[in-house]
Amino acid sequence: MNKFVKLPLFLGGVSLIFCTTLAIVVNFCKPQMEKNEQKKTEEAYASLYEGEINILDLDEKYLDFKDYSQIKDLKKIEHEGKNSYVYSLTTQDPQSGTVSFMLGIDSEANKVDAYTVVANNNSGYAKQFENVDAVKDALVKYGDGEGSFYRTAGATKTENAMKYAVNQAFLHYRNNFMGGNN
Amino acid sequence: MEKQSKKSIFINPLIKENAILINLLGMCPVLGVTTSINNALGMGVAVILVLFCTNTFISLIRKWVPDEVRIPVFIVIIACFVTMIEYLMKAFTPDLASNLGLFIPMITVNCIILGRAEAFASKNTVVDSMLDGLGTGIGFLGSCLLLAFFREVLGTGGISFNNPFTGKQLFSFLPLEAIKMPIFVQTSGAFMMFGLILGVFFAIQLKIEESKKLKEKKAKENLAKEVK
Amino acid sequence: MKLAINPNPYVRSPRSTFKIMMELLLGLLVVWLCSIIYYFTKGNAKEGLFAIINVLISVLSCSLVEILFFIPKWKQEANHDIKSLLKKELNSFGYITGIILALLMPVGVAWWQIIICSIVAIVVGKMLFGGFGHNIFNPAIVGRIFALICFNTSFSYGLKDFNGSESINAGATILTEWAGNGWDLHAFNTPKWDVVLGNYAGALGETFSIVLVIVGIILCIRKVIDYRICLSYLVMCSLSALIVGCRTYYPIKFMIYQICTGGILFGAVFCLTDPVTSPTTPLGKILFGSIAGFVTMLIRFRGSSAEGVAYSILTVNMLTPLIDNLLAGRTTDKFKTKAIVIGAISLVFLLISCSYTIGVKQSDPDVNLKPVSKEVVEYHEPSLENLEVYYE
Repeated sequence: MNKFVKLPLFLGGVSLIFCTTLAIVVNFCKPQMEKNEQKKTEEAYASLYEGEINILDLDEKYLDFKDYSQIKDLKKIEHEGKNSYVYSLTTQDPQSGTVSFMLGIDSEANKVDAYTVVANNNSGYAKQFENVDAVKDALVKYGDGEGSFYRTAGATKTENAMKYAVNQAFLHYRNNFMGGNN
Repeated sequence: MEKQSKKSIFINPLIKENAILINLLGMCPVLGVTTSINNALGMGVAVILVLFCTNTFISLIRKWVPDEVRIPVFIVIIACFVTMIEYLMKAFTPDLASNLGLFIPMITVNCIILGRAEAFASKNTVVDSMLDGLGTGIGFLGSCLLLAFFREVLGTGGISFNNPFTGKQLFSFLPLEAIKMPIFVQTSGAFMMFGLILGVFFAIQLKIEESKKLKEKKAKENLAKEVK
Repeated sequence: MKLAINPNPYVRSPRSTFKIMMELLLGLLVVWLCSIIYYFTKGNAKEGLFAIINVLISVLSCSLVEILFFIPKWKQEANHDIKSLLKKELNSFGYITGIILALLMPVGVAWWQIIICSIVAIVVGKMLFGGFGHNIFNPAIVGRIFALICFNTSFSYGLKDFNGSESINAGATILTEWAGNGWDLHAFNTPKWDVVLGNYAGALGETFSIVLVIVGIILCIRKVIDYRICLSYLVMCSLSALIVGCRTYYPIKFMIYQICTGGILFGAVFCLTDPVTSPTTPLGKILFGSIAGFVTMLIRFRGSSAEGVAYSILTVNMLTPLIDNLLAGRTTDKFKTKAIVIGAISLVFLLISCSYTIGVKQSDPDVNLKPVSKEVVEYHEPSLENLEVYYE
């Protein structure tokens, strides 16, 4: 056979065989992979609260985050009869790295009731935040009166970025959910 | 090249021509993956499957591959098989896949696979290539496990084994946890441990060769004495 | 073996390597004595005892590992009695590595940690490369970095920490706390003379600045260590620290604190000047010291760990063969070219050091930074008045 016929024929044949097998295998694996993803997110949310949790549906209008650059996701979770809004936030500190964390706000008491750090690839600053309880001992007041400021013990740069992200979550919450809009 | 027997094709890559410890090929994933025995096992099994499949397929089509496109075709075949294995691992062993991370797609550019395909599978029959693929893969798995064993025992104090499909811990035996040295599960410890293992391996080989030479010498002398 | 590549004439003198090393050992013993006295008086008897025991364990284990390495060759020699083995060991100076390694460790290190570190230091740092005279890296620093990576969180630097309370923070030294506070001079609570004299928690030998300077000067005068390395290293470190210190209110104080804390003086006198791992030409030595100083300050201000000295010593040890290759054998003695080269390189380094000032806290000396009240603030309900919104 001519070289110019043999080459494309061969290459076409091999590509055909492999594309079909690859398509079969990928389609076979896809549903299982989606199940894995779902399980992982469920576990991430389950680590926030003890006991059983239930992820409820939220209206689309609440999930519009184009004004809030730090909020990545919002879910409404029901646990032990109470409803909470869990925000997934990432900080934006180009010097110290990014920290992803989740903040849960109780819808009735309007208080932060859960906090967990999901991922941080930070050189060491945000490690201070890993086991910090957002409600009990997150911030410590330094100084008195006019020149006072709040900071967490040790970290210097990252807590400003985290305060920014948390304040964005609060702003979103205030605009959407306060005043009985639950 | 003389024909090798089927047995030697399978046994050779295990120890005498081990891909990692003797030929020093494809060491990059070995250093990155052997932080624990789980990961080493997963990587080794993946490489065995890829080697087996690619060797079989390449020796099947070896008579029809045109010479000009030989290497690109091999690479495409290897890439397809690796992608299939990657998706299978992500679906059914998600924890293992996320631990191994980037090293599964990197099997594509592992020298061992292309080397075996080029040097052996494209010139031998299907059965021989299958055996060679299995043997090389098992040799790879063996050396990965050896390195991972030492790194994990020194780095975390013992061995812990998880079920790859569900992620639950099967057993963990940590006798030396009080004196664990975390440097060995990091990159610098990987190089140190790998170097030490290579040194011990070569020393053992040298000793075996020396004893063999001694035996031959003695046999020659005895023969010479008998002749006299 | 490093051959003498200086041009002839060769002068025969009764000084041998052994005698030079013995004088170095004397200097080390002086520092060790200082630390023993310090830990016995300022700490409790247990720490003073540990200051003695750590060094003895380290010296013994280093020597034993070296003797184990010498045994196969020794068995093949004609006369093997214990004396020849010990003589081999005496000429291989493993014990000096041992005492330097122990002086680099804090006082709260466990006995098995010292043994493991000394095994790694001698085997990986010295014997696998070919023994004395063939090693690339300073073996004591190799052992110290091994301890830094593996065992750092279980160290206790002994005594009270710089705040005056019992040190609960394992693995924290005065330097890491200072770095964590953004190099703020006002968070630095140790008084002035304590820092300089060494009355704070640190490694065994590295805190006594004045003693180290005196020992260093004496050793330089006796030509045991090379003054060019020490001087260039200290000058580069001080200039970088001065540039950074100009951002604060007390630059000279900042510079002196920077030099007296961490292992800079100990590294300059005993570790950097090791004749096996440093270049042989004079210009090479000055380059060696400057690069080491630059890397130390780079790691301190831009790196995530405050222990810059050990890593910088290993880095320039790697560069020694390169420096030797480039500069060995040159017979031109032109002062002008050398001065221009050194000046240009130093200028580049110092310009880069100006970037270290980013991130240094410049706090008002009037604000008292100690937490006045540990009053915890809760995240209260977000209402219009309490919410602070940051605008980008």
